[in-house]
Amino acid sequence: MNKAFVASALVTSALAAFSGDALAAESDYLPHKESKQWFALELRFAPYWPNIDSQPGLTGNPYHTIFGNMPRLLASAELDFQALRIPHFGTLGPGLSFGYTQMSAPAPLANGGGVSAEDTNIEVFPFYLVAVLRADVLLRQFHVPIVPYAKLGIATTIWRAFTDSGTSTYTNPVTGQSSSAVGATWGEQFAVGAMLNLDWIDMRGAYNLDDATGINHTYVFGELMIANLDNFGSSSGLRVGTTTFCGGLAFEF
Amino acid sequence: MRTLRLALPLAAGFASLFVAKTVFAQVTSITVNTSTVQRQDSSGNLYECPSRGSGNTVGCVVEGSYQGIGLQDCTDNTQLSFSLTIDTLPDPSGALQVWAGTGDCTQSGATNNSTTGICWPVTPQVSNPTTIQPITIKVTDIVAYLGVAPPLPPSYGAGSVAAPAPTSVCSSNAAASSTTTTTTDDSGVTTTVAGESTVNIFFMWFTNGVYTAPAVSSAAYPVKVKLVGPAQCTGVTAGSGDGLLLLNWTPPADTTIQGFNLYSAPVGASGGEGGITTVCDDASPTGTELLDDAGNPILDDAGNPIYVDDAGNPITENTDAGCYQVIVPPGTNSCVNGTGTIDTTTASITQINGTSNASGTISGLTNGTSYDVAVAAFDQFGNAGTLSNVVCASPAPIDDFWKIYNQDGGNAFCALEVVGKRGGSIVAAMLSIAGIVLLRRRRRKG
Repeated sequence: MNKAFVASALVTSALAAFSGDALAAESDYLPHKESKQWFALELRFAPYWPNIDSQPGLTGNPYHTIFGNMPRLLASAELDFQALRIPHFGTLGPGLSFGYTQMSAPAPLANGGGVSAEDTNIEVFPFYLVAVLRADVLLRQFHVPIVPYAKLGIATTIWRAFTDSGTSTYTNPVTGQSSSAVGATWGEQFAVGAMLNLDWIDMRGAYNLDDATGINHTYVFGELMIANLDNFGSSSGLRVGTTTFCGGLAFEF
Repeated sequence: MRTLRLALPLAAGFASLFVAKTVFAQVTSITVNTSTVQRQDSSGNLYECPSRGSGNTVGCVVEGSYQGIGLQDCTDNTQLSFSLTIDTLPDPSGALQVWAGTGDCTQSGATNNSTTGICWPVTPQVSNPTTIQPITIKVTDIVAYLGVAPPLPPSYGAGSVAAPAPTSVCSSNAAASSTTTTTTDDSGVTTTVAGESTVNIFFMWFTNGVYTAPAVSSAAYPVKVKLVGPAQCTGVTAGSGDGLLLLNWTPPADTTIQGFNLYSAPVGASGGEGGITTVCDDASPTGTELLDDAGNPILDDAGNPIYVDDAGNPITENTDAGCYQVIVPPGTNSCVNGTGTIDTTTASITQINGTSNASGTISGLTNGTSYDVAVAAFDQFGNAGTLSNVVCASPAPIDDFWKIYNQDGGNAFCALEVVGKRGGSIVAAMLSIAGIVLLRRRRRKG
């Protein structure tokens, strides 16, 4: 605990010292009036394991049986409207995200004779609407290029299971009821993370970028993302949510 | 005298007018109305060319604006219809002849010459025309002497030339069209196409009984001829799916490929290997019923007694005199031993476009049935290339994710048909945050 604390303190101090020096040095000879900042755009990438097998009542592990443990790459984008600037703290506003990923695996033959040449697939389109709180006070007032943030909101993921023949269907042999493998599952979205400001790498370039395009700041970020998709506690619904670490690039403009 | 001076020019003028009515001007211009060139079947109806692959879905046009003649167009006995514009008609001393060749048919010695000729007639001559009706030319006539040097049609005589129509012209000229042709388009780009020829159709006007080139006027219309398909696909494999087969193959290095035909035929189809066919043999009109050692009939899977013919092949009894049905045993080219055959004229065809595809799916098949499958590339002329190796595979049911999920007790409903208890509180929390943001923004503005 002490080691972690000391290490983080050292890193923070070093960043603060470096960025403070850089900002001071640049601002000495390069006065710059920042353009207005209203939005943030994130390009997000994350390993994706859906929580399908965690659904109550399942007698097996259908996802693991077919697709194994290999994570898939979830690519998404998020656009935040920084509607409210909280003095000496940061910004608060809504964020909207959409993404996509797909997983495929050879489908087993029904007679148990190995796998077929046909793939069975799931594709997911995650969407969420969150309130985003970004504490950029460290960056703005203390020149520490770290911006912690948190997100809370509502999420849905549209999903579809399909084969080479199209969307999968299943007819229950007992009830005769048929179901088509397309739907959406709702739930909550949580995230906490931090962004590392990249402007200090080339402060003059950052200013020029702001002047030319209106992009105020550029970041890399990492976050812990929890998509708790279970139709808000229902025992039914394909649990395509996940808990994962996400990273990517962010731009404020 | 003065009267005579006035009368003579008047008389000469009248005379010249009279002569002008009896002397026709010579044809100086022939134009092919290219926008009205039409492909017809042998009955003169509009003909839909076989698929030309992606990017060439409009009729029979290839390479931008050329009429393309493929093997199917030839064997279907199609014809091209042209309308011409000729500047001065009637011309009773003239005649219209239509010739085809890969060279310039307007040059001296190119036509009507059994030694130096490079062109051949493709329609009977139109003599003393008062009007020019649309001219139809059979595709078989266009390709009839392709690759033959010099072309020697039955008649080169003046007046009437009956264009030959050899019955085997389509296939016999396949090899002739398989030469390598270099063409340069309007923008100066030169391309080399294997197995393709440009045949020019010359509409030539001859006059005063002179029916040897050069013609007094002419027009040319180029068509593209290619009667052979792309090279052979190799390494075909087939994998099973639910009601489908997934094929993989190695496409040939052939720039003419537009897509691929995937052929499939069930093993045991009527007339095919393993299938039932009717044999007439008076020596065994009804066959022999198979019995077990106890003398009881041996039944097939359907519960019917089994009959065999004199050779011991299983048959289905047929009461027609002297005839019975027999199952064709697998032969040396059987799917059973991995070197099956397939009849491309009766097999089902799944066509996929794309020049370099190496996989495709044949769907709509019956699980548990064995199919012979094979692949052939096709070009933009609709020519199918040499058939690949034939492989055998059977579609089979699969356990896809959705089936396993449901069998494991999964029940997924669409959207919010079933919502848990937390739904209301989450919505309330979201609305609260939105309210705070709006309130703060409003206060700031105030």
